Amino acid sequence: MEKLFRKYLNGTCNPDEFNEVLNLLCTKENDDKLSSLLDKSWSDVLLENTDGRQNNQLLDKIHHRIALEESNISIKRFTIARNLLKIAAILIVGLIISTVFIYNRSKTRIYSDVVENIKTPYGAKTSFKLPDGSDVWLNSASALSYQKQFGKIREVELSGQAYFDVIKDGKPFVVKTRYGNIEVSGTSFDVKAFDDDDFETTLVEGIVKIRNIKNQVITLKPGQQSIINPDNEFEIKNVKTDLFTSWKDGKLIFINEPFQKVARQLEKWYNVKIEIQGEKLKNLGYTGKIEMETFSEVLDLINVTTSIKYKFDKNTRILKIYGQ
Amino acid sequence: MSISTSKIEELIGRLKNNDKSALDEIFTFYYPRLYNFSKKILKIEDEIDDILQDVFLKIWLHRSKINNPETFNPFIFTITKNALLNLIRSNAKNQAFKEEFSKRAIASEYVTQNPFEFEEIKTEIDKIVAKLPEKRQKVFLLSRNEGLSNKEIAKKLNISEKTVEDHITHAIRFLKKSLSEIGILSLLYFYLFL
Repeated sequence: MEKLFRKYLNGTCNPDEFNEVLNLLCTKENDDKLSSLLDKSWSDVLLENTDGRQNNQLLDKIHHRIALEESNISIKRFTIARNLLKIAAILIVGLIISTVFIYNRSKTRIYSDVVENIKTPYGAKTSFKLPDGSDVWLNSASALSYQKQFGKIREVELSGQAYFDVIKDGKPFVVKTRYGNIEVSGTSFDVKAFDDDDFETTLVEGIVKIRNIKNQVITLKPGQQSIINPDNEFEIKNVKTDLFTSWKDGKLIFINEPFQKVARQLEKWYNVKIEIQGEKLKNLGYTGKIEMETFSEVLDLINVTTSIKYKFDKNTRILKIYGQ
Repeated sequence: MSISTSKIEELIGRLKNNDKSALDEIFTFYYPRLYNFSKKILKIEDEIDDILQDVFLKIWLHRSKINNPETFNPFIFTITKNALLNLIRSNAKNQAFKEEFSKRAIASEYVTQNPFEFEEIKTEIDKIVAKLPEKRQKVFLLSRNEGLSNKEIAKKLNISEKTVEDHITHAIRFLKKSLSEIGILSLLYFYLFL
């Protein structure tokens, strides 16, 4: 068995010997024997000179996953926090973690057809590169899936919000959502496709085509935004694009935005539930910029810039906001 | 280059103090070594980084349980070994995986376009090997029959590792050329995988 295993490690098995090794590897009863055979190889490797191969990208991913694991721990602690001060402290931790970009990668492995699923929990966002080198920023409570190897069409499936910076490489790039598809070649654009919101596409650069589920197509120019309403009708308007894309740089900008919509963004951003009491307050226009602030700082900010009172329930994580 | 027990002791202490830079240092030392180790076993390089990602995550998450510097190497070895074996075991029935795995694990003279010709190829290979010059034949048989590594062969025959590599490369080239001449290996294949 030693000889056979040596051949396997050196890559010199013939096909019969390889099948034999594969059987040995797959037999649980051999675990002790395998351990001692592999241990020898490990000792050899430890003594060998290495090429000093390093992989900083992988080290970054490891730190992202550590941040994610530790944010789960802080969410557990959350429920036993005694007062708002403690909650605020944990929210600060949560925010720091979310700004170092949390990774939550789960992989479905089917060999020739590997699909990557990337999900962000509430209160976190992430950025990463697609197989073709295009950049994606994925906002809170969103999910993106794509094949690890793109085919003739670079196809990704989105639920939630993402900003894409697509590299031109001759193949079309398609974002699929439950509301319709967006087809581009090389551009920068933002897509919002949450279940509980309008389907918005905001174009920063280049050209995109949007196809709704009725197969109607429109083309957007830079600075334009299309909204598809629940009846699958298009609306196109000219917008200041950074209002819709600033989230990817850790900023939320609102200009006379109904407070209800502001609250919905804050819910995802800070992983809380916000209840607004009173119709008047829901439609109150809010103007302001939130940049890397903690949740309690945001509450203070809203408190100063609007005339509101609030109550925070630590157990349900529900924030109730009242008008004065 | 190796890592000293006192250095490991220092790193464990820093890990326990939640010092993430200690993990960076552990990564710098262990990543290339774990990569080489994993490559020897798994052969399929695409999978290695995913496995090692889990290994380093585990080192961090279990840092409070790591106490003895003497058991640090065995600890890293055990989690990596288990992850590698698990991957092989859970995919062994998968045809696509098995093909990838065997293509990379089997000696290159056997990598033909048709896996069913094994017995025939083996007979032919033995005949061709017998025609190799004496020294080259000896090196090749030590590698293929005894399963010795190039380093071990070099030591045994008191020649340089480079010479061993040259002998083996030439032997494989001669084998493939002869196999293609008798029609076992297509000429195209011969040039592709030379």
